[in-house]
Amino acid sequence: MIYRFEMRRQLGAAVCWAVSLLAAALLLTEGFYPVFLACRTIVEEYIATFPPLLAAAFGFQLDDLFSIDSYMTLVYLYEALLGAIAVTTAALTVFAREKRQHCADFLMTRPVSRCAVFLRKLLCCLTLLVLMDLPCLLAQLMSYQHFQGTHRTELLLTLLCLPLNQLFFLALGAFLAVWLRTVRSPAGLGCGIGMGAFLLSMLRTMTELDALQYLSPLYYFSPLTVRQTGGYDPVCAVLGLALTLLLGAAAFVRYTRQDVTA
Amino acid sequence: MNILMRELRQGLRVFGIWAVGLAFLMLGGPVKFDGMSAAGAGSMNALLERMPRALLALFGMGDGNIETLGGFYAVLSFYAALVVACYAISLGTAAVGRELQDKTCDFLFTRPRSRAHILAMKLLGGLILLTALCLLNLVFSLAAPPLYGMENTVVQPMLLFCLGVYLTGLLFFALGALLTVLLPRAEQAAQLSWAALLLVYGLCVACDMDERLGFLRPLNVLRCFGTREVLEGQPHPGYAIALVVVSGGMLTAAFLCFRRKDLNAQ
Amino acid sequence: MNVIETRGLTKYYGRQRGIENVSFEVEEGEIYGFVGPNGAGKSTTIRTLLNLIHKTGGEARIFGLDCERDSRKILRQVGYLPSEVFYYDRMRAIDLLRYAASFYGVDSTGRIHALAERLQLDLNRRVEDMSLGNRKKVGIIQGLLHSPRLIILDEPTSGLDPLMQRTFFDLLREENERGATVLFSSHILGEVQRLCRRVAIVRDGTIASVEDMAQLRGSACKRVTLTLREGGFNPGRLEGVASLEERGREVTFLYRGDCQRLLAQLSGYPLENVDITEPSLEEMFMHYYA
Repeated sequence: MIYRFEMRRQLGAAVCWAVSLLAAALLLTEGFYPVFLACRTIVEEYIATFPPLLAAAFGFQLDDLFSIDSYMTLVYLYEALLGAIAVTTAALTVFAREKRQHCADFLMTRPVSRCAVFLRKLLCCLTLLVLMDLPCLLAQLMSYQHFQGTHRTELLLTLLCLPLNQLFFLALGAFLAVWLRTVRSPAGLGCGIGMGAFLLSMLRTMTELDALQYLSPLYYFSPLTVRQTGGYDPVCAVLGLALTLLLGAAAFVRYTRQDVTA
Repeated sequence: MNILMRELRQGLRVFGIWAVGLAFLMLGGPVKFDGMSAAGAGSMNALLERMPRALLALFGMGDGNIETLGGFYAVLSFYAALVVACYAISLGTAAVGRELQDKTCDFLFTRPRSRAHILAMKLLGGLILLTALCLLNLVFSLAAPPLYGMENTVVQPMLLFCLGVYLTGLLFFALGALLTVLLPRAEQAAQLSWAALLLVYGLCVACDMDERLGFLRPLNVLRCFGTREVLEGQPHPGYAIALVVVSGGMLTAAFLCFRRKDLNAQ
Repeated sequence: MNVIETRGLTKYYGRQRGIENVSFEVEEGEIYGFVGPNGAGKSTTIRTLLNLIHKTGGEARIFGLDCERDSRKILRQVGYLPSEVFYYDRMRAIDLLRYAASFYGVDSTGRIHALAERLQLDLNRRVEDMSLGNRKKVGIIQGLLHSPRLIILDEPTSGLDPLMQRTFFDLLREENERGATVLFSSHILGEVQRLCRRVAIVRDGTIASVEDMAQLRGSACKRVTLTLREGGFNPGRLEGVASLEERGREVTFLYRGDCQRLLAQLSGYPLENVDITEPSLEEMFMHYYA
């Protein structure tokens, strides 16, 4: 009942986000990739004179800069920003619903354990994540086919970067919803967290400080690393998963054990 | 005065968090600037000027030449505008909506103070905090080059960029306040305001990537002044004035509509 | 059989006392009252029984099951009406009640409509648009729709008009006649007096005493009201007089003792009128326990 209830409440927002993510994916690939391709001639004249430092700072191989594979790694950040905001907001809304509406008594005096309530809310968030991401990922796959991408073996890993990184934000949203005393605006907090993660990633790109990669949750599973090495960075991946599990566990423990005050 | 003081006290903690974030961006951002500018100055200039907009946009350079301090700062300033806009939305929506969401509107609005007075004090509190953050932005901007042993040759452009950031913040502050007054639920207003910011950001990126979308420039409120205009010392004040007028209009509308708003706890 | 049993139940909020050493039993089929001033610990006791807050020490059992370990089994058969009624936004009353009913695996549609009709509640209105009284009615229905074995009420009548209060009490009596046990917490002593068989007086986080209402009513304590033609009233050597008040020619006091001696004392006064009645629980509470 709780799963159905939450899904009914969140479906509208999930559809909006799915459409936004799909629109962004289509715009960036079908819309802007041809524009990007049109620049190839000009860039090819100058690519050889790029200072090595600058070329390395952006981390791409000169000869496949204009492939759809590389392009997708470059535009990934924008998808990741939207995806992070979407899933954090959803998690905050779902897990803080009773707290915000002061009706925890209503739910917690039903014959259902708190563990079951938490797990059903979590299942709802995971379902929403899939619903929001699926159209966008399918669109990216279609664009990949359309523009004849060549690194098919890495395609799955690249496409999975978005949902895997979103798991961290889901856990973060649940953690904050449970641990914060009040959650006035899930949309505000979700956008703030997404923007914060986005800015950390931009800062990392600009400053090239290695340490910042561990503070960039949008890149724990990085399509750029997949392009460069054929897989995820093991340290970042483990860090991402560990933080996700830790935040999720902390949220679970508090949710099931805290006093429900009037 | 008591309402204003309470608003400022309540907002201090969150202000601190945003200030730290802004410091991180503005003081940490230039750490590699030295390396970039050292790598072949003259040829880089010519190269980047001929680089397609789409490529520059993808690398976050927009219309800024990151090889010069001014151009680099323009890019940083864009992200500072994003940070300030985020904070401004939360201030604007909270100024109107906090009492409704905390269910304390019955308490406050039955005191012997007019609605206009109460709203004015709350908005003033928000404006003071927004102004303080933008002043910090200016301080951090001016402090950053000496921190890395560089001479600050772009003081006036920095001042203009900081002003632009402030005006952007003002616009989103007014938007957040107005939407919260107009819409029945504060959360809806927050969602719309944030959606507007994301849309504007998307438009910025789109304009940067494709010159054919130049007609969308008026919607590009995250860049109040064009980078080239500022760096060449010829800023056009028209757009900035328009932002001030629109912000003022939205705040006035918020005041007028608030008089008739039903105040129900949410 | 005891439906509710607590032994040394204790709850501390940090170093702040919630309840301390609360021990009481509620028998099956009785209506048990819980009275006390604000902050006495009534709500804390109830919330501990319902596993909404975790006890610091002691034991609490409902239907012989542990309140923490077996809370899910317990809650299948418990209906709870809290003092403050907040529900989800953007939901009509009928939607909320159907959602509540879905947890019990029984079809409660008929019962929901019957209760709504009895309480004169429009089920198609949004809960957030309702007045406090109507939200309270929603609360009553969600607590009773699954015909629970135990009904726990925390100040249930605040917000209800007198007519609705009477309807609510009738409902409770019917549930009790059906076999339900009721734990009724209130600081409105009049309603506790009307409904309850036994009442626990809670003060400073502990149970000060448990009184049987029948015994209280049958006790020798009387409320005496005199209207004198002239002069004042002096109890003299009459023992058992308490709370003596004089308002002009009217004199009232509580008396516990031998009726013969009382009447003998009163016969010496020029009386215009005399009333000898049962004192209210409030009067006894204020006098004996305040």
